[in-house]
Amino acid sequence: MATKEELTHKLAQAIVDMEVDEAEAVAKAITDAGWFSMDLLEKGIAAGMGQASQYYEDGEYFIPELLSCADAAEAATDVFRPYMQGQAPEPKGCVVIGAICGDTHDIGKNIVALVIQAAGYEVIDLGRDVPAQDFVAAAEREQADVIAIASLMTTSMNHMADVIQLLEKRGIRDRYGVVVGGKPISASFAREIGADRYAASAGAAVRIIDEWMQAKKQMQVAE
Amino acid sequence: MDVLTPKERLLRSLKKEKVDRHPVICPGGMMNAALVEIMQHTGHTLPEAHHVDSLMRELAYDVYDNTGFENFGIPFCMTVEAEALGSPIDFGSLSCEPKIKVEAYKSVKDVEFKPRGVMEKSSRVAAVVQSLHYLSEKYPDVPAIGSLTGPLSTSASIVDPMTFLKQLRREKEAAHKVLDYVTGHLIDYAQLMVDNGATVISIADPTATGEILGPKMFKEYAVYYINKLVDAIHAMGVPVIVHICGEMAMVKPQIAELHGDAISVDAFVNLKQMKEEYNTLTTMGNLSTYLLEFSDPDTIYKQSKVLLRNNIDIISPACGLSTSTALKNIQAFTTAIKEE
Ligand code: B12
Repeated sequence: MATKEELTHKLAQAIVDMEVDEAEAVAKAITDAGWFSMDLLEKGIAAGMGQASQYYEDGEYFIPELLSCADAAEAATDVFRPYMQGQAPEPKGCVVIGAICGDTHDIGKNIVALVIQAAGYEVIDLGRDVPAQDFVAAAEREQADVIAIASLMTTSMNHMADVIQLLEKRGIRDRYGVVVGGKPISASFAREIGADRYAASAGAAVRIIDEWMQAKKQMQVAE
Repeated sequence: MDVLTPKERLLRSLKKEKVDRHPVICPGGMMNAALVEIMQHTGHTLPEAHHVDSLMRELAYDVYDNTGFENFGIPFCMTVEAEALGSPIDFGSLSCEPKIKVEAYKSVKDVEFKPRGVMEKSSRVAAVVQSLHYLSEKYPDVPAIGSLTGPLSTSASIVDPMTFLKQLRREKEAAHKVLDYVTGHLIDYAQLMVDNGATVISIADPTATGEILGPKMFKEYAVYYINKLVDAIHAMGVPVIVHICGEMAMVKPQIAELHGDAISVDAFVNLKQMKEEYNTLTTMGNLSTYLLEFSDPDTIYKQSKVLLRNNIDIISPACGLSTSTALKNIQAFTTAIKEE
């Protein structure tokens, strides 16, 4: 019989291989053996999704593949969920994300949301064509750490600035990190509208949000 | 001096026959050129013109007249097809193009297959074909281009796009069935356009970009269904332009398999090199839409001349224009080409 380590590895591999049924079966084998522990989420599921995200960044996987990996991860998580009761892992932080109003493009935003979530964040996805005030309202309601705004169109990207102005008007700008992204966005555009950071890809978004959370923690310690 | 009419020039270019100079066009649909500046000036405005054929044809004429593009391009959005197949539309505003409010179906397995003939019953399809009819009769020398949203983009506008994209892998049979269904209706729509005077059909399929699909899915779905559509339009006796969005390095070999009479590509694709690699290809493109929006007439004029030097067969913007592009920038572009 396989050891727990072997099964954990097999689970990660099933996720990378887009094998939804296999991921579910391995997860069941783990719980049947009474081996469920919280570190499986990190070593099995997050490890598999991390590898899948890397393949996507490297151009080896495309959107259909990456989404299938996410499905496999989801299937395994569903098996584990009843065993996680009361010990759900503390998310690394909360990110509110959406595609700004006027814009129907949401594939890239969805990928970013997926990868951020796989990296351990709680993600509140507001969908597409989202008005500025909805970003702000959701961030306040959820006590979010980061607001992530997507725009794929030059005609809608200027509305990203509205979110920041609204935060300033309400005197809560410094509560949130604001990260922007999408094809026409650049680091200089981000600076121009007063966003904190720009990320060109889903992987870069995670790195930037990790940095932001790190800095925030240090600030809190200093205070 | 021009020897050929714009229609002759475009049709000859599509057949790779000799022309007096390069045509410069903008097909409409995804590549809509109804700029805010034009509409504010003429008063024929969107979103109203998405619905009413009298306004639609006036606006198409205004675009032709003001920009210098040598064609009529109809419609001005990518939602006509999905609306006819069941998705509700938000028609946007003067400056913002229409978009799908929410896709009609959650999964490829939920799609209700509407019988053939629904295109004919759509009021917006009617506005499009009536406009084509009017313009092609009244201005026989100007090519009237009917723009279609491609099979993948239309399918991902009636089925939730994320589910759809993953089902291309996981529910192949059901996904093929939906694509086949959608392609059938697109053929019907193209037939209505052709019957009503469309000179050329232009297919744009942004969701089919290699950036999203990758080479395997691009071949299995995009090439197959776009070709099916193109072949059907060829059987109607009309040439077809196929536009593929985005970065293409990973799908370049498949591009040569597309049956379109001209292949139009985005700005980062080196068309000169592509022409050398596939010498049977008729190339179309590809002045950056960002350049057109953010640069100035001088720079645009110079960059346009580069396209001429590279002998791109049909000159056009590289992809969908921003509605806030300045008219003088577009005019610098078309002037540079027409002076050749
Ligand atoms: C697919 C597509 C569509 C699909 C969208 C399907 C969907 N549900 O998303 C459809 C067919 C519906 C569509 C419609 C239109 N489109 Co379109 N479309 C594209 C296309 C080809 C690809 C976009 C895409 O999904 N790429 C794949 C994803 C994975 O990449 P991505 O979005 O860049 O995301 C990555 C990064 O940017 C980053 N990222 C993305 N979001 C975020 C967010 C944050 C916070 C961060 C940190 C990072 C980040 O990470 C992602 C993953 O690595 C682009 C051109 C292009 N090459 O980008 C045009 C493009 C965006 N479209 C364009 C246009 C013009 C339109 C239309 C207006 C056409 C028309 N005439 O109606 C309509 C839009 C109507 C509206 N009001 O919104 C233009 C926009 C021009 C402009 N003004 O700026 C583009 C740029 C084409 C061009 N000209 O080159 N389109």
